[in-house]
Amino acid sequence: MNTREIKELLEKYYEGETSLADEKALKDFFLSAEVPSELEGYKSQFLYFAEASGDEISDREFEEKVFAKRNVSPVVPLHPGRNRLYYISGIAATILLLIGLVFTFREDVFNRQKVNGTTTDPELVFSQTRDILALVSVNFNKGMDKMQYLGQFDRGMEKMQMLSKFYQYETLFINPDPITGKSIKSNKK
Amino acid sequence: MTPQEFKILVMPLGNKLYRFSRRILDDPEDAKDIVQEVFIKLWKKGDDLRQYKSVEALAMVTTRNLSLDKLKTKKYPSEKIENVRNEVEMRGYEEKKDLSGIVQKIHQIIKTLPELQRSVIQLRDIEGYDFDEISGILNMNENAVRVNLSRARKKIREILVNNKFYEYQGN
Repeated sequence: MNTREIKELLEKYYEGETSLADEKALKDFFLSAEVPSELEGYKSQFLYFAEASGDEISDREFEEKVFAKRNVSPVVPLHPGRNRLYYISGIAATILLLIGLVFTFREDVFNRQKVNGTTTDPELVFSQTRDILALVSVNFNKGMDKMQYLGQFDRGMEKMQMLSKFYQYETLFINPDPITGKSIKSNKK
Repeated sequence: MTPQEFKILVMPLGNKLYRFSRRILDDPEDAKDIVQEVFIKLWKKGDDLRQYKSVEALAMVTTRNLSLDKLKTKKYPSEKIENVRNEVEMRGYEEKKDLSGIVQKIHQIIKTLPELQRSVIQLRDIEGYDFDEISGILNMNENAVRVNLSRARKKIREILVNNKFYEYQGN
């Protein structure tokens, strides 16, 4: 292939109009030993393309690693970091919730203990309770004794009923009968 | 699909997938991880894999998608075109006659191209796919592939010419 043909191919090459066969011809030309000096500048890129196509995974055990990984964990999360974040924050929220509940509940217990004192000895508690109940019982009975007098009040009230009869008669004696104009006193006479 | 079949059908694609991913990510270790992920994804398809017209095209598409995902998540520092130009210029005169030095520069120049152009160069000039295959892998029509390819090639030439790596009389 002569220089003129190569130049024509290069022109098409830069317009993206060369076929794969054209490009193969260009590559072969520029990788050959004799490149005219006026075209030498183009050599570097075709050398680079050739070199780059030989770039390979340097890891010799790569295939085995893939097979091992495939068997152990076929599911590869796309966003492992994000998943872990959700997981951890979920746990953290649960723990916080539990701590919150426990403290709210326990605060009530603490307060109640402060009010009642902190005795924990059951015998002592029992004897104290018994004393208190005994005291209440004695005073209650005293109160009940006093209540006996209420019965006398009732009796007094019965006697008061007699008074009302007295009043009834008294009015008849003092005021004359409005129709007859005579008092009972005078009627009897 | 037996492991043996998988080894014969899919595993030989490894290096091609690796080069493609590396062109997008510019990191050998990340590229290797991507290839591993692609293999595992394909393996999980099991017998469905036989229904695909081209396992290779599927593998390449998967490689590109996973690489682009990674590119987004890791916040890769995108090579600044000016940096490369300055770097090329500074050492340009000493290395003008040193061909292997210039070849290494080409690698850096390609790194400055947009991802689509890098991928087109990779698929066409390095792997030698035909336009039909490339438009399938990149999910765009053939004409768009040609346009991107032309732009990428011209960009490489432009940077080389600007740095006097070769004479260019213009078309």
